[in-house]
Amino acid sequence: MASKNKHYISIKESREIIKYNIKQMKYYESLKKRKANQDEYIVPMKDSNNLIEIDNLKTVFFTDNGTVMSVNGVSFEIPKNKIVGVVGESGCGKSVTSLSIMQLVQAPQGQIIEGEIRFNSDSLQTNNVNQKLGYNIAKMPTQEMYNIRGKDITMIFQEPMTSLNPVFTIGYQLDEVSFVHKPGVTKEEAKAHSIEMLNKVGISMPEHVYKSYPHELSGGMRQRVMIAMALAGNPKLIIADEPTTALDVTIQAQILELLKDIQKKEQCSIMLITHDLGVIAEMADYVVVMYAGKVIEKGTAQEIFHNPLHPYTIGLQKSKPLITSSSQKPLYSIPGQVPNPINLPDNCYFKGRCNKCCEKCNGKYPKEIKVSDTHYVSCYLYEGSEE
Amino acid sequence: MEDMKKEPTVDQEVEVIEKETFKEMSPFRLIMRRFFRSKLSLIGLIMIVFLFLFSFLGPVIYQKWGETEQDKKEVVKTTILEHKVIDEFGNEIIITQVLEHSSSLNSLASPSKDHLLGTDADGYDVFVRIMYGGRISLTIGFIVVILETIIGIFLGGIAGYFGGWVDQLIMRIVDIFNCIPTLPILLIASALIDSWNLESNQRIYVLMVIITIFSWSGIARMVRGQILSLREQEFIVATEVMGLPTWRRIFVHLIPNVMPQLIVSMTLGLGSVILYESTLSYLGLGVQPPQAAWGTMIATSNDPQVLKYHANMWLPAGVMIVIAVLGFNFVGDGLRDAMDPKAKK
Amino acid sequence: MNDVKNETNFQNDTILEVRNLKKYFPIEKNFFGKPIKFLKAVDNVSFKLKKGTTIGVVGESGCGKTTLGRTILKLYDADGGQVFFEGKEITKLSKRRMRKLRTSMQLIFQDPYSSLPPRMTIGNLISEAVKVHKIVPKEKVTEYVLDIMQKCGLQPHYYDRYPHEFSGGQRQRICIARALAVQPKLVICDEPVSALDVSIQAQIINLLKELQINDNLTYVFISHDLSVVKYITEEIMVMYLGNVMEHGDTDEIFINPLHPYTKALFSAVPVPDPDVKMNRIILTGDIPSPANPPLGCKFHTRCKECMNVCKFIEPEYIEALDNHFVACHLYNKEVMDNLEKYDQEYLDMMNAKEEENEK
Repeated sequence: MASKNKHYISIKESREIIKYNIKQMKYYESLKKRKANQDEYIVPMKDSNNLIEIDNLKTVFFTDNGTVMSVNGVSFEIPKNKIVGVVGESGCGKSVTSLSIMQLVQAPQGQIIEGEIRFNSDSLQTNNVNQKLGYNIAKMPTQEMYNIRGKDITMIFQEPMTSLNPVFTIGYQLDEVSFVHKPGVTKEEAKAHSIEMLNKVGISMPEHVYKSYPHELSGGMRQRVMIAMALAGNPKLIIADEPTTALDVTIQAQILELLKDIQKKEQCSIMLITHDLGVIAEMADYVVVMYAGKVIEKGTAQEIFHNPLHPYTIGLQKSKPLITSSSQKPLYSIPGQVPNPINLPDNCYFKGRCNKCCEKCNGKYPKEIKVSDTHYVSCYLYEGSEE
Repeated sequence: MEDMKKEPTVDQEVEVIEKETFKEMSPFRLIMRRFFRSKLSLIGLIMIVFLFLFSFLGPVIYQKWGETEQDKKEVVKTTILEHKVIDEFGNEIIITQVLEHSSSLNSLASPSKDHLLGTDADGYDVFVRIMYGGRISLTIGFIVVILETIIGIFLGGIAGYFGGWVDQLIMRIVDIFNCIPTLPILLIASALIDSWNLESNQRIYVLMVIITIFSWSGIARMVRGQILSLREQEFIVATEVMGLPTWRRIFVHLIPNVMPQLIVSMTLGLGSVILYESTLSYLGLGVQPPQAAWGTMIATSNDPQVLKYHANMWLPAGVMIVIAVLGFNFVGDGLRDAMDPKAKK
Repeated sequence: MNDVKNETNFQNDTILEVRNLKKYFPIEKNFFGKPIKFLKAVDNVSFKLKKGTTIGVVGESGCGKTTLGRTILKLYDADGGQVFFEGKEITKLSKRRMRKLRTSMQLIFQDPYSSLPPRMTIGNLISEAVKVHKIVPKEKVTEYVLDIMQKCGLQPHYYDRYPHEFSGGQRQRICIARALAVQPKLVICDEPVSALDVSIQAQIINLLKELQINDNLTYVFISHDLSVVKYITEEIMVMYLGNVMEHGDTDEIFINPLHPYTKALFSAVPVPDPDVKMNRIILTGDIPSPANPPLGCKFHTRCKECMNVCKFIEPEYIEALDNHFVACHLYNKEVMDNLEKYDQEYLDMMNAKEEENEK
């Protein structure tokens, strides 16, 4: 009997994990509560053209099965006025990265334990050595974060049904955003602003929608309303977390078109999180490919789609049948399962599923290799081919 | 850059060796962990364990007095009587009268080494009677809950699975039971039982049947609701696709999936049945003296003298009821958290 | 005319035939419980399926593709039309006789999380139906189940584990193993890969294809993912609000889509190549509620090529090209020749309505 249940955690191990978790959670919660000095979270940006710079971000979850390294040393930038696509499978940490930017990781289990998220805010000037200053969101006190969240950085969720409150009208919920972000706004001004927003997202009868309740609208309409809501604070960055996954193809095409349009008109950046390579190819200027909490490859859309380097990126592209081709050969498929990022050994995480695995791969996790100015890959195959 | 496009190494067949980097908790441990996450469920569990040991093991260990054994010790008792008298000038005079008399029954004794919680008006040991009262309450509670659950599963299951007019009929019966005011009916029933001149043991059986009749409807309603929602679940649709016979679908697939909710409602139900039984006993309709029951013990406080001077006769029984009901509620809530599959963390 | 049709002209290689299948769900009842308004989830669907082939049913949410699958399996009672399985009409079979047929028709669900019983081990849930239907002798059940598990890429030591310990891809393998354990001939796959990750999707699709070749299975493949459907099917049926819009060979339909809806649907699929800029047909407006479908052609509210005739006459389902069926007025010669007549009719109708409103 005992051998049969070997794959379950023992009581002793479980106790140790729980003890460790409580200690860690207490420590990180206490860090959040202390009064932070402004110097601590105002840091110079690497490049003033970047809106967001994520640097070695580590976000973990302390669970009963062990510490889940959801985001494990992720670094990438979101330039101004660009669409950055983050692609990966479920559990690769793409959503947790976005929640970290919003400081919305579910505490106390979820904690940012390392790294910086620098946000290039217009309200900050340059410092004495002529570097543009930005906020480090990873260390920012919650109180200060309210000034950024929902205003400079907003988010669109996957499920438009559940992200609107069913007991209030669309108008009420849109007006509310105006009241929060622009103190002293009158009711009429708020309404005018809301209707303008609804117009902007291509809703043909804004007055009618303004008075409707969420359940009276279809999925596509609700997603439009969500986008309108996100636009209400004139954001610099819109994080779209799987914005079209719950929608039908023809509606998805509408929403993607709208997002592109808005990005151009509003001069903002979009961080587009999705598992659909087609959507990424259509929308993104830059692509970040994530796997098990790490960025394994990043570059421009051209580079990632025409010259994919990491075996995972290659496999991912090959494993989706194309609507334009009519090959009847068996599909290429990546064998095995997506690993759960708990206690992963310090090898390449993709090693077990990789078809180009070699001797070197038994070593440490590969470093990020710069292939071109914009193209980086973490794989031993490209060691020595740095630029 | 150009030669980079060539595959640096040949594609090889990948033999995936599945190594697990972490272990999971077993389903049972997961339930335990969720259950003990709340301190209250631990307290509840301790309360219930204490109650069981006290009621069932207590009388075996503490055999100094029996349930209906009167203390026939010769004692001298003092009774203090106060009289208010108003004299001819309108002054209020209080006359205190101390009566001393010897009695062959050690009744209304205060707590002492001999009687840990004193004795009552009939010379019975209160402490021992609380133990026996607990036995009655817990036994009645368990039997009633099991009976009502059996009826509830049966009728609720039939209503939920077959639907249509069967469902309509059963649910309307449930509605009728829900809207009958229970207490008046119980009063009438008790009066009836009184007229049958039953023995006290038989009286308890009848009491159990009556409480069951008035409490199965809640469980039936819950089981029906659960089965209705389970029927739409894909794994139940799958059983039909598999062509499994009806009895198998009900007893192997549907009922076991209602079990967690049933256990929760059974635990919560125990508390309310104990409360019911006590209420009835308090009103003199349940367990009859000289048999011990918490309700009848509290009923002694109807006498203002007892209420004022002999708190040891009724207060402990009240505390026990509070412990029992709270304990079962805490454990029930804990179980609900532990067994709800939707509550992930 | 119907009497003649009721005689099955059963060909040996046809395994499934659906004729004018209808499934209406009552959505409004009058005081006496008699339904007065229906949601036409499946309306007049007909097709034939050859043994060992795959038909794809595509469409957006609310088009009735899931209902179609379940009505074929008699999980819902049909409100009209017939389903023939191996030449036998199953729409009128009693529950008990249907139960015997169940093993030869199986269903694979979209969500591998909710379609497995949570309190049964993998071994038990696969072997349950095998034991009930006595597919192999009792003493050989374990061996048989392990064999099936191995075929579906599941390791033998999973036998004693519970479903919640597995990831989505492995659960879907378990679902497939369970469906195949009863040796079906027809498998209805209801979005079997859309809940899975991309890298896992390819594994499952390959598995399904491999099993089809080995066991000569017939699939009805329901999906909204056109690229997957294109890969796995020989025939495609496009549905919209309960009606079949277009039906034909997969290659033919993808090369030469006829119906405006099919064209829009195909062009809406994002292609994973940043340089391909398709001149996309973006449909305006939302899918109408299936409870309140528009008059005439159900697609006319979103159609780019909508004519007056589409607004009040439902198009006939015709064979526009060889073995390529479509329900659209554009391909109906008789309608196209008399467009003016229909325009006039429409105007008359609108005028009549206006007058009524004025009154």
